[in-house]
Amino acid sequence: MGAYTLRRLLGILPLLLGITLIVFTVLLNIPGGPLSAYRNNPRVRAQDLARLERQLGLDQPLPVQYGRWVVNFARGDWGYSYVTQQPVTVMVAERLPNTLLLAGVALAVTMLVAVPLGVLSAVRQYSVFDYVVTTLAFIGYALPQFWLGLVLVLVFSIQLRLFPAGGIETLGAPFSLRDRAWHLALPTFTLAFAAVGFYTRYLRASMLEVKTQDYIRTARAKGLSERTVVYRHGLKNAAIPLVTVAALHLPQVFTGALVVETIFAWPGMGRLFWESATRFDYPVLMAVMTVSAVIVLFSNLIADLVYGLLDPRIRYE
Amino acid sequence: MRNRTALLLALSASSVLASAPVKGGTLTVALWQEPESLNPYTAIQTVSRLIRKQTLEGLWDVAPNGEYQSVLAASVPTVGNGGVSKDGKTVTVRLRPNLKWQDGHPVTSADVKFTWNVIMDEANPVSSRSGYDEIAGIDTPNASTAVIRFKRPYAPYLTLFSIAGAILPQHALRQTDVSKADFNRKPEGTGPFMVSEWKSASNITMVRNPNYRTPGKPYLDRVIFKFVPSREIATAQLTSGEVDSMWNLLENQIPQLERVPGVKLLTTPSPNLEYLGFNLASGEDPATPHPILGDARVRQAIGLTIDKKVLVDRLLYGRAQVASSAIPLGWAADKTIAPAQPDVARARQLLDQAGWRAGSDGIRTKNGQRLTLSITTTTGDQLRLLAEQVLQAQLREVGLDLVIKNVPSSVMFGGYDKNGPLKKGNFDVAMDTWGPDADPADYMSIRFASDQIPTAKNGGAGWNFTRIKDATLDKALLTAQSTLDQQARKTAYAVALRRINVSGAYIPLYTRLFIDGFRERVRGYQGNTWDEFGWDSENWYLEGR
Repeated sequence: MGAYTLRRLLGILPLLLGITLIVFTVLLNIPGGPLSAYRNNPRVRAQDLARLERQLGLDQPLPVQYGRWVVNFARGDWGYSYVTQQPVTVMVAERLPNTLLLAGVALAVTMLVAVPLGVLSAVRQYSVFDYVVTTLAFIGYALPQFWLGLVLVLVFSIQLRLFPAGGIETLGAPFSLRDRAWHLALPTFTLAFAAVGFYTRYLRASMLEVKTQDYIRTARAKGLSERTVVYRHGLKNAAIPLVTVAALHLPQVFTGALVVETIFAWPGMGRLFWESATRFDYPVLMAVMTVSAVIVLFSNLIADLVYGLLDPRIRYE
Repeated sequence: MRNRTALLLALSASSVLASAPVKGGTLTVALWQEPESLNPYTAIQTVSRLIRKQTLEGLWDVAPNGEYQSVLAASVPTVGNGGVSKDGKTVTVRLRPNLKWQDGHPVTSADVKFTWNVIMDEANPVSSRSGYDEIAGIDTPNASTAVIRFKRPYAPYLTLFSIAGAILPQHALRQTDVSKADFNRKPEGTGPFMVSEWKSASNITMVRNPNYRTPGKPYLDRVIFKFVPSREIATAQLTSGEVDSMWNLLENQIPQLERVPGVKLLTTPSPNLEYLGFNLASGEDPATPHPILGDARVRQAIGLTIDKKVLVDRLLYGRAQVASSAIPLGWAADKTIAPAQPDVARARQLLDQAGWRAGSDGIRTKNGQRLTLSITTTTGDQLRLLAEQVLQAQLREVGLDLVIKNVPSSVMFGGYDKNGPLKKGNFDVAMDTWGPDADPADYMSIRFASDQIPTAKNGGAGWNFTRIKDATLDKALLTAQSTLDQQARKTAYAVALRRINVSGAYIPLYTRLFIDGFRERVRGYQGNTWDEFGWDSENWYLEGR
C-alpha cells in the first residue's frame, strides 16, 4: 500500500501541471482581459494602456507568462493581484478561514442530521416517517440554492427580522460566538438542506442493502439488541460508500460555495473566485483554481485509501 | 404628478425645519461593490473614489453648480486671479494655511510635487497620466506655494490633482513606488474621516479625523461602508433598517421605495448620457461608407423616428431627462440646443428619397437589400434590453428592421488587437452610456476627433468608433482643448455639439439620475452631479440618536 500511495502521489505532479497549463491557456484567451475595465474610460489613452500592459507583464508571449507563473508559484510566490495590488497569498489567507467555517459547519450539520434520518428511514422502510423523510429529501435535493437562499432572506430577514440578511458578523460589535452562530444560521441551512437530502437518500439505500446480508441475520441470531445490530453491524458497513462520497465532497469545503456565499455576503473563497473572474484577475484566479485542483486530486487519493482501510477485502497493487 | 410635487415640498420643508446638527453616532452605508484599492491613481471604480474621498482630497473639486471650488488650495487658480500665467504655461497653487494631515503633520507644497512624482513613477500601474504628462516640472518656492510648469498650455488643468485625484502625503509614503504600499488600503489624508479597518468582502470602517480643518466637523463619529453582493440586498437592508443609507439605486425602484416608511430618496441629475452611435464606415476605414448608414438621409430618418420621451416615460417612470446633445450638463453644455422632435412622416419621406422602398413584409428594400441594422449593447442590462425593444418597435413603423445583437461588455469594449467590434468598426448601431466630467476636454476629443478613429495606422487608439470625420468639428475640439479662456472654450464646444447633432452619427437619448437612499434619521446631505455620493459627509448627522 505504501508503494501504491507513492505512485499515486508522483502521478499528481504531471496531472497538476497539465491542469494549470489548460486553465492558464483558456483564461488568457477569454475575450476581455484585465485591462477591459480601463478601455472605455476616456482618460485612459492608448499610451496608458500600453504602459499598463507592460507593467502587468501582459505584453510577454503566453509561454513566457506561463513559465514565469509556474516557477514563481512552485517557489511560493503567488504574485500580486492585478486589481487590488495585494499579495495573492494574503487575499486567500483572508478568505479561507471563513469558507472553512461555513462549509465545515454545514458539513457537520449535514452528517449529524442525515445519518440518523437515513438509518431510521431504512429501518422503518415504508412507514409514515420514511415517507416524510423521503419527500423532504427530494424537495431539498431539487430546490436550487439561489432560490432557497433568497426566500430565506425574504422571510427570515426582511419580514420576520429574525436573522441578518448577510455578512459574517454584526459590524462594529465585538466578536461573540452567539453573533457568529446567528450569522451562520441561514447560509448553513441553505447549504445543508440540499446535502441532507442527498446523504439521507444515499445512506437509506445503502442500509437497505446491508439489512438483508447474512451477517445481520447472524448478529440477530446471536441475540444482540436491535440497536447494536443496526448501528454496530449495519451502519458500519453501510457507511463505507458514504465515506467515499464525503471525501469527494471535501474540495467544496475549501473552495467554498459560490452561490450561497454570494447571496449571504459571506467573505469566503467562492466570492473571491467570482470577484476575480469578473475582473479578469489572473494571478488570483490561477491561485484559487490551482489550490482547488490540488485539493480535488488529494481528496480522490484519500477516498481511495480510506476505502481500503475500511474494507479489508480491497487490495491495492 | 400632484403627489410628487407634494412630496418634494415636504422634503424641502423638512430639511429647512431640521433642528441643529447633532454630534456623534455611527452611520452604516450599504455598497453593492467593493473597491479594488483606495489609491486614487490606480483604482478606477466609482466606489473606490467614493470611499477614498472621505480621507484623500484634491486641491480643488466641483460644486453642485458645476463650478470648481477650492479644497486644499486657498483659491482656484485662473487667468483672471493671476493663478495662471498669461502664456497659460504656469499655474501657481497656494495652499490653505495651517493644513494638517490626519496624524498632525503639516501639508506642504512638497506633497504636491511628491504626488506628481508618484503618478510618473514607472513602478505604479497608474490608470491614466492624461494631463500629468503635460507637466514639465513642479517648483516649490516655499512650503505653501507650488508652481506647476506645463510643456504647453493645457486647458483642462483643473482636472489635475482634483476630483479624480488627490494629494498624497510624502512623510507617510516616503518613496514614490507605492505599488505595494499598505497605504493603498489604509490611506492617510486630510478629509473628514480616516480608515480604521478594512475587512475584505465585509466592510471598511472610518472614524472622525481629529485634525480636520473645519472646527466642529464632521458630526458623525464613525461611517461604516458595508459591502453587500447586490443592489437588491442593499435595498432590502435599507428597507429593513439594517443600514442607514445605500448608494446607487435605479429609476425603476423609485415607485416602490417611495412607499416605504422611514426611507427617503436623494435624486440628483447625472451627466451620464445614454446614446446611440451609428457606424458611418464599412469596416475600420472611414473612407469607405457603411452600406446603409453611410447615407446621411437614413441616419436623419432614424433620428426623426425615435421618440425619446416614450423611452423615458415607459422605462424610467418619467424620472430621466430627454437629452439634446453630447454634453448634457455643466458649464460646457449648450442649453439653447433643443431636443429633436420626432417626425415620422418626414422620416418616411427621407427613406423614400434615399431609395429605400417598402417591401411586402413592411420592411424596406433597395436593390434587393433589406433595410436591416443590428443594435449592440452590453448583455445583462435589463433597462437597455427593454430600450432596444422599444426602439425596435418604433423603427419598424418606418420599415426598418432592427436586430438585437448584444455582447458582454468585455467583448464590446475589447481592444483593437482583440478585435473589439467598436474598435474594428464591426457593428451597425451601438448603445452605451457616457459620463462627461466637469471638464469635458478628454471625453470630447477621444470620442469625436478624427485622429481618434481606431485604425491600424494609429495602433487602434481612440474611441471615435462611429468614425465621424469632420474638419469643422476637429477645429472646434482643438480650440476648446488649447484655449484657457472658459467663455471661448464654451463657444467652441457649442460649435462641436451642433456639428455632431447635424452629422446624425450620434443620437443622445436621455440622462439618468443618481439615486441614493437614506433612512429618515440621516440629515444634512445634498446631491452633487459632478461628485460622488458622500462628497459632503462632513455635514451629515443623525437626528434623535
